Amino acid sequence: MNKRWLKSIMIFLGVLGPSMITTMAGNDGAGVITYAAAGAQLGYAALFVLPILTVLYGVTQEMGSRIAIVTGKGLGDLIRERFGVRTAMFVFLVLIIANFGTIVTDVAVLKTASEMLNIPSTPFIIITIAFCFFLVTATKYEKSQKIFLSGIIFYFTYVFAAFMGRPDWGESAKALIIPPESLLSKNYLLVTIAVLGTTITPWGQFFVQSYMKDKNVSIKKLKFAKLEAYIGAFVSNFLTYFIIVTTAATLYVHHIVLDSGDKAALAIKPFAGDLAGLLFAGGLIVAAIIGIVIVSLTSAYAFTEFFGFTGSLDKPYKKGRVFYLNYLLNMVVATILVLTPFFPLFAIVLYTQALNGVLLPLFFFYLLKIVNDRRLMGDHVNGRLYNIFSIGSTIFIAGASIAAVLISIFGF
Amino acid sequence: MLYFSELSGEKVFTSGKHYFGKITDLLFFSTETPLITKFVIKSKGGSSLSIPFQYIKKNGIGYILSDDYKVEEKIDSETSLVHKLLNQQIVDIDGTEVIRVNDVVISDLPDYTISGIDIGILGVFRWVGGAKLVSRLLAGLNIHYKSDFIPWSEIENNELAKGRIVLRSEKEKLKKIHPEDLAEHLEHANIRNVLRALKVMDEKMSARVIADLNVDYQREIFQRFSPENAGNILSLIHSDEAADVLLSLDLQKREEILEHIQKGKKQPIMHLLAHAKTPIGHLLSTECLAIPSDSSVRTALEHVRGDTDGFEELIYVYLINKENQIVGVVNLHELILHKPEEPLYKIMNQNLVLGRLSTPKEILLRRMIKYNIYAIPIVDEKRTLLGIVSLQDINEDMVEN
Repeated sequence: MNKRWLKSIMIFLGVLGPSMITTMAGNDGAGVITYAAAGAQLGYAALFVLPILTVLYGVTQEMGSRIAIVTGKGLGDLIRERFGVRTAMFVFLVLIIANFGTIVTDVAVLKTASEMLNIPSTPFIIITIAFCFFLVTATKYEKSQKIFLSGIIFYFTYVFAAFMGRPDWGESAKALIIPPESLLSKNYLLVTIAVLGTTITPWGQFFVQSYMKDKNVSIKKLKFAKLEAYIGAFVSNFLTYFIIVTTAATLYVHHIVLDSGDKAALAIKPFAGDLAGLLFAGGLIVAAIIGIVIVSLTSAYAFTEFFGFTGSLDKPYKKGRVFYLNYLLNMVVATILVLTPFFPLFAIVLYTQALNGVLLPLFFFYLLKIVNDRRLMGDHVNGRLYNIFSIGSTIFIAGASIAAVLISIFGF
Repeated sequence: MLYFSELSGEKVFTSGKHYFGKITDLLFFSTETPLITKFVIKSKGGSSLSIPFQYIKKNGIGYILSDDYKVEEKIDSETSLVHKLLNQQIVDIDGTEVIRVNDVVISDLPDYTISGIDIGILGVFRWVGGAKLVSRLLAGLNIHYKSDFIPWSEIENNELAKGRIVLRSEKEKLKKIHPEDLAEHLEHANIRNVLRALKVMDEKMSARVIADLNVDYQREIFQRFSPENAGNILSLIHSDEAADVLLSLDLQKREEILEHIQKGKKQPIMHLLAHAKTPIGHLLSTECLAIPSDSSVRTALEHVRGDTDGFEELIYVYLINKENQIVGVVNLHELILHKPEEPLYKIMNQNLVLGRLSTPKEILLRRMIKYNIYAIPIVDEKRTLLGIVSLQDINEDMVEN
């Protein structure tokens, strides 16, 4: 009995990676500053969205992994093959723009975090970007995956930071279940939708599938991959919980208004201590690095999948030159933009979130079409209940993100 | 020739010039000669109809559907261009992804056949617009755009039927690993596939397909066919081609088949066979120019200037693929008329009139007169160019004897 358990765990650990890394990357620099801002603005009430978010995240990630394992293809491959060049070109262009916005945001987070730690930001950013490039090009799939996975450990800095803020744990646990009074206020809606939009993203949907495809997981291990998707969603939101708690216990309680989430590390110092601020800023840097790497990789994957040039992490460097060039280009251009003085960073961040929000329904439309296509998926199409739930979730996410975009543009 | 991107979405009208629908897909036989058999048309009502190509003709306004058209269901041996070929990834033998099919090149004369696939970036722009702009931009930046055309002959057609696009040259590489067994195995797999496809076609169609095949396939096919079946098919193709095929078979088989050839056809074939004792080896001239089909017009003209200095005359430039097989021809006039950047595969004539060393000179002469050409390329069993026989040389030879 014990041995069977052990065997199952070993298989699970073998499959582990793609979903875990993707969901963790969902807590990228852009994500962390959004969660921090949410905690600061709404306090513990912001936590109420997390359980729903976890389920939605798990469902969408699971569908992506399942498609990758059953068809052996990425989302880009399938959109191109099933919907033709024109659709593929359109989806590719919008994805690459939205991704680029996210990369810019993450590089900018790198900049502010390094400034908070009194590290000279320009050399720091350049060295970090070089590191990101070599991390992926110089290591094989297995190794880079291990590095990504160990990056997750750094997220636990937020757990420590949260404890140092001496939060009211009972209050925070209650907030997960009991709907807050401000649930239907405009501010609450906007903030929680921003949290949703920065967690469930088009690039996340794309990445999990491409990365899973590269891993060549056999269909026999499908159930483990499914499990991983839900566990990944849980762990990532578990950490999100601590980020929100940190700022809720300090900034919200003391009525400190943040003009943007990236200042949180500095703002919590007086209440949680210097070490907490340091941990928070350190975590932010790791989050930004993971975001830069994963989102740039997503764009590179998308390019090679849509247009069919050889390339992925599973191929030797020389063969996948187009892939790696693409990867590098994304990071370098984003860095140049962020280092340019007077760069309208705030506007870029806002527009990126809006674009990601608008794209999400579009991506889910293709995702659901593909996951329910019997010719591609055979018996692994969505079950009826699952479909009702996933289509319902999609409509919910789509409605929420469109509402957020409308509210932030027209301000009603 | 035309690209599928140009054909897709084209409107189809009835003979009364009423809008009928638009072309969305083509069905073809994935064989050595990929004949396009049906057009899939999305009608006004929104339903997809597959209609045999015979009912659709092109004229000045667009594509016209004849009034007596019939809708026929797709049969198993037919392959859908949109679902199995376009946008799919081409894989080499290890299953490593290589590149995507961006467009399909179709030859429309005399029948619709697939001549190859386009994997270049311009193929993408042809779908979304701006292909001309991009090609001009590349030319302006002095970037030499290498054409990315893969001729049909390099694609494993039996793999395509299974839903995979595999390059034949990759399979050739495998042959080097186990030369004897593998080569034999592949040849058999191919011929069986050809035969299977021939079975579902009517006699007229299969006769046309057979006439286009390489000599080794032809011989193979006729050896497997019953004499009766072979006789019926040979009655349907031109007598000089029929004679040519018969000459490649052994004497006994030839006699058996001749029994079954239609009366009206038998006489001219017998007449031609009687000349078979006149070999053409001494007429063969190696004064010919063969260059890769993906070269540009400019390169071709440079070759003409550089390589043909000592030639007595030069009228045609022959185009070959990577395996040295002849795939097309252009004459000098066409070469001069086209833009220097134009790739040769786009302007070449793929309907080659070929001869073999066993072809009698009378047959060669008849062909030259019939097709109005001045020289016929002579190929071996692998379709490799051996040389040419020119009209002039045949004339001189006949006058002398």
